[in-house]
Amino acid sequence: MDDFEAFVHANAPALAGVAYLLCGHRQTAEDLVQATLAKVHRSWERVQTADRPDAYVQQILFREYLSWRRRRSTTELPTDTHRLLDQRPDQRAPAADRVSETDAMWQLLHQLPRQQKAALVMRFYLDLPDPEIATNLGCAPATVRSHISRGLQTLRTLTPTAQSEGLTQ
Amino acid sequence: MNPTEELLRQTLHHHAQDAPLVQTYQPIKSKGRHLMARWMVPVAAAAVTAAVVGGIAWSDRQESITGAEPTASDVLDRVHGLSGPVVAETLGLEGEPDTKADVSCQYWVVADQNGVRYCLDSVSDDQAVQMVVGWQIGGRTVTASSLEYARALIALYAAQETTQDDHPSIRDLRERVAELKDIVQREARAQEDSGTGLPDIRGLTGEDVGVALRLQPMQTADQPGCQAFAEYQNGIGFCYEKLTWPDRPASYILGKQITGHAPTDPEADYLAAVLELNAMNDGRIEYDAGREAELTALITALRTQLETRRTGD
Repeated sequence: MDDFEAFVHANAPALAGVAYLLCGHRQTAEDLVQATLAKVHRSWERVQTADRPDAYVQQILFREYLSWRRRRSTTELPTDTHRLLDQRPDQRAPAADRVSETDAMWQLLHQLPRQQKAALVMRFYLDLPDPEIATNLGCAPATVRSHISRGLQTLRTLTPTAQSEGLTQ
Repeated sequence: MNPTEELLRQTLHHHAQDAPLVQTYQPIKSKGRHLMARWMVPVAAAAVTAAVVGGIAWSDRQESITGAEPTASDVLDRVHGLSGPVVAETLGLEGEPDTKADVSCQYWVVADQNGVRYCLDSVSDDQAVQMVVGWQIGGRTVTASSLEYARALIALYAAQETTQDDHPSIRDLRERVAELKDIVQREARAQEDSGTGLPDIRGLTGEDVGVALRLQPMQTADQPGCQAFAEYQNGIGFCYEKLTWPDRPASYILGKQITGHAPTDPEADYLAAVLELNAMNDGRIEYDAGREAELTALITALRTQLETRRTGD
């Protein structure tokens, strides 16, 4: 097993996890991992000499994801915002038909602009600091904070939890 | 951490467990084009490697395998001045009917009125290069500034995804796009107006003739109204009526050349004169009264020569 194979073996599952969170769709996530690994292979010498190869590859994955503008229709989950809005705590359907909070959050997450979604995944799943998120997104740290703030604001406005928060505050 | 952030964190960690298993990809060749196809079962990473190595190649672009990614100018130099189908052939792209959705391709371009489309994903990793090659395949005149224009367009699209439409940065980008569009259009006009604008087709036969004259390949069956049509292969040819009509001898000679028969020297001279005169009369090249008179005289003389030769035969 050469270095590249070993790298793929060790890192592909984690990459697939992040890709799935970004794409919300298994097949597209696989495509994203595949495209990322293809790029990694082409730049393998540069990747393996990087300080942190895994972080470097993660950056390639995020950049690849953000560049998939032409694939929008296949990378975002079809959701019906009105249906979700109608399921706020005070308007919910009978319990058996409820959309769980995490499902609602998951669906709404995929309604967000890509940069916001990517920033949220990096902050709340990968626990990356703002400067690293900024590097991955190719923007300034202040822009990262703006993406995260706007993303959370949207989620807060639309999710049932947010409604609860509003009631308790 | 507030409840929304906590719920988001839970959601992300919960759904990360639903991520796809690491699957392998196996290169397959379909219609002459290499694709990476998803294999059916999860297997070892070694196969991923093999697939990545094999799959990133397209046709004879071996430089991708060896890691020497072609630059934007490499790609654009290769296709400069070529017509749509020849661009596709040069880049090893296989056309297919634009009849069904196919999400395996990120960037399709529909090349001509026959609905033949080409997937440009393999052309370059650079979206701007894909865009410019797409323009070239679609028959637009690509200029030195086209790549810059494409980059500006992509930047604008990207900004529009995250920023309000009336934000100053969007307005700036829009102005930049408009400015570059003007430049590209001016360059295209200048390019088309420069010189006689007529290619030399001597020595060419078959498809090369149509390519040089920037004609689009068409299905024979789709051209019932064309006054001058010639096939260069079964069922596919060029409608060239606008270049030679109504000169019948010139139509005959050009048709003969497209079907693969090299014209004699007098025939080639005659055809060149008619093509130039027609281009002048149509405004495709600059009008010059003196040159018009020369061409008219030449055409008359050559026609007599050709008729004499034919009678002699």
